Amino acid sequence: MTENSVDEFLLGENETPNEDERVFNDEGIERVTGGLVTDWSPAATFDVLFQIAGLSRQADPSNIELHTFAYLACLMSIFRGRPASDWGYTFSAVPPTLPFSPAIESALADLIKGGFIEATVPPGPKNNTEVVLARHGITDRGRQELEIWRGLTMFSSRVAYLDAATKTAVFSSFPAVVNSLSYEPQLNAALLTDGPRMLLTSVTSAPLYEQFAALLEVLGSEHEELIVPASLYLNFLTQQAQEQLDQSLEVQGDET
Amino acid sequence: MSVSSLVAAFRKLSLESYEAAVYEIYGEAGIDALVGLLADVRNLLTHVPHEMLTQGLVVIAPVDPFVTTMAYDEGATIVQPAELAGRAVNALTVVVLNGGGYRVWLSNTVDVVSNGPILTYRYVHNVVEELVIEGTPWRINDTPWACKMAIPTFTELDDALIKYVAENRIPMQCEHLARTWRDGKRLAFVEKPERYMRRSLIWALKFALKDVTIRPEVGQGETKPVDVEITWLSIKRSAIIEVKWLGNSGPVGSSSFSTSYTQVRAVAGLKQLAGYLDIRDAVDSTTPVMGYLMVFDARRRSLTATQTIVDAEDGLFYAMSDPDYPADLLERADMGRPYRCFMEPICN
Repeated sequence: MTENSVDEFLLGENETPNEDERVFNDEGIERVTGGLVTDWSPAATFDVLFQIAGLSRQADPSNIELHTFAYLACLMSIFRGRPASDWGYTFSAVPPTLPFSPAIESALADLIKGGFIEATVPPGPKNNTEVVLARHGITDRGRQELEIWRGLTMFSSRVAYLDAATKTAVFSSFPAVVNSLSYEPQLNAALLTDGPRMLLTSVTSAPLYEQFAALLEVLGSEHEELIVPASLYLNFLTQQAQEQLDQSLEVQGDET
Repeated sequence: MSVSSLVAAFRKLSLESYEAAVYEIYGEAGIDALVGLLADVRNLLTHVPHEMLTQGLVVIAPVDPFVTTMAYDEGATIVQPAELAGRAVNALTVVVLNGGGYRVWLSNTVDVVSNGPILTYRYVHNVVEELVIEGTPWRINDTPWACKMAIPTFTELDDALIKYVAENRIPMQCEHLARTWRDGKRLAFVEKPERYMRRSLIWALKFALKDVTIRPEVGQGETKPVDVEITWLSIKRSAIIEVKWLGNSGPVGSSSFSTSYTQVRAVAGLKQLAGYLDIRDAVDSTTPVMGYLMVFDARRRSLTATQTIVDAEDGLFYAMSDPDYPADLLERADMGRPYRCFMEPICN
C-alpha cells in the first residue's frame, strides 16, 4: 500500500471547507469510480481496522455492522462539508444488505487473511433458519499496524469521522444504529423499492443534504466535534422510523 | 418535510439530548468524558447484572480528569470492573479515578465531593436510568428494555423473543406497554391496546436483534398485513410476527368490558399466521419466511369491569396456561414456536 495511491482522492487534514461555504452539494460519490477500483481501497482497509478496534470495546462487530458504521462515518464527512467523492470508496444499497461497500468487504477479507483481524463465528443457529454472521476482533498485530497507519497523512484526516461513528454506538446498540440508519433517505428508498442502487450520488443525495443543512442550522457552524451531530442525526432517523411505524400501525388498524 | 420542519425537528431533538447538553456546558472535553463514562458503565454492567441493582448503581466521572479531584471516605480500589463479577450486588457506587482504575463501594449513598465538574450515571432497576449534569437529571432510556446501557443483543430471533417475554412478565419498564393498561393494577387493557404491543415489540427487537432490519409490514397487493416483518441483511430470508392479546379491554371507568379474548383468540391467531405464510409463499416462493405468534396475555380469572383489586390466586391463574394450539400448525416447517408473554397484575 502506498501513501500516494489515494492522495488525490482525500482532502488533507486542514482542507475541510470553510464552515460558511458548506453547501452539501457535489458531483456525487460516483466520481470515485473514475480513478479507483471499487473492490480495493487503502482507505477502506484503514477504516475497517480502525472501526473494529473502536467498536470491539463494546462488542465485536459483524461485516454488516462494519458497512453501516463506515457509511455513517462517510455521512459525517459529508456533514463536515467534504464531497462524497472524496471518501475513497463507494457504497451501494443492495437489498437486503444495505449499505454495502465492496471495498469494505474486500478489506475485511484481506485483513483476516493477513492476521490483522480475527473472525469468530458464534455457535450455530438452533433451528437452522437464521444466519449467524462472524464477529470481528482486532489482533495484536492489527493493533500495531493501526498505530502506524493512523499517523499517516493519507489516513489521519479520516480519524474524526470514523471516531464519531464508532463512539456514537456507546449511546445506543449496534442493532439500533443499523436499524436507524436504514431510514436515511437513500437507504429507506432502496428498502421500500427493494432495488439496488448506488448511494450518495449527485442525483440521490438531495434529501440527505436538506437534512444536514437543517442539522447544521441548529448546531451552528461553530460546532466543531462530530459525535453530537452523529448522535442527533441517528436520533432524527429513529424519530422518522417511529413516525413511519405509527403511520403503519394506523393503516394496520387494531384487529388484524 | 419542509426545511422549517426539519429545523424544528432537529432543534427539539437537540434540546432533549443529554449529549447536546453535555457539549453545551462542557464542550468537547465533556463529550470525551461522557463517552468514557458510558463505556465504563457498559463494561461494568457486563459483570454486574443490572437486574440485581434494585437499590441502585451510581457511576461518577470527572469532566476533566487532570484537574478535578474527588474526596470520599473508605471504599476499595479495583483496576477493572471484571473484579466485581460474581457478587450479588444490589447497590454500588463507582468513582472513575484520574489515574485509571475505580473506587467502589457496595452502597448507593456514598458521599463523594468533587472540586470540579462531574458527570453521574444513575440506575435503579425498573425505576430510573439517567445522567445527572450539573444537578439536573436527563433521561437516558427510551427503549422497551430495562437498562439501555445493558441491552441484550442476539443473533437469533428466538433468543430475543425469549428475553423479551421474560423481561415483560412484570411489565414496568416499557412505556409502550405501560399505555396498554386500563388501571394501575394491570387488571385489564384499554381499548385497542394492540398498537402499543406492536410498537413495544418492534422497538425492543430494533435494539436487540443483530444483522436484521425490523419494520411493520403493511399489506401490499394480495398479501394480507402482518404486524412485524424482520428481514435478514445477509441473506434473502424473512420472519413475520403476528401479535395478539388475551384478556379484557374497555374504556376507563366503564361498567363493562368492550372486548374479551380467551385462548380461542390465540389459536385463531396461529391459524391466521399460517394463512399469511401460505400467501407469502404463493407471492414470493424464493424468500423463505418463518412465522411467529406473540401473544400478550393479561387474562385474570373471574374479572369484572368494576373490579379494582385482584388476589394472586385469580391474578396469576393463567400464568402457566398455554393455549391449546393445533398440532398440524405447530408442525409446519415454516412455523416458529408461539410465544406468550403473560403480564402479571399487581396482586393484593
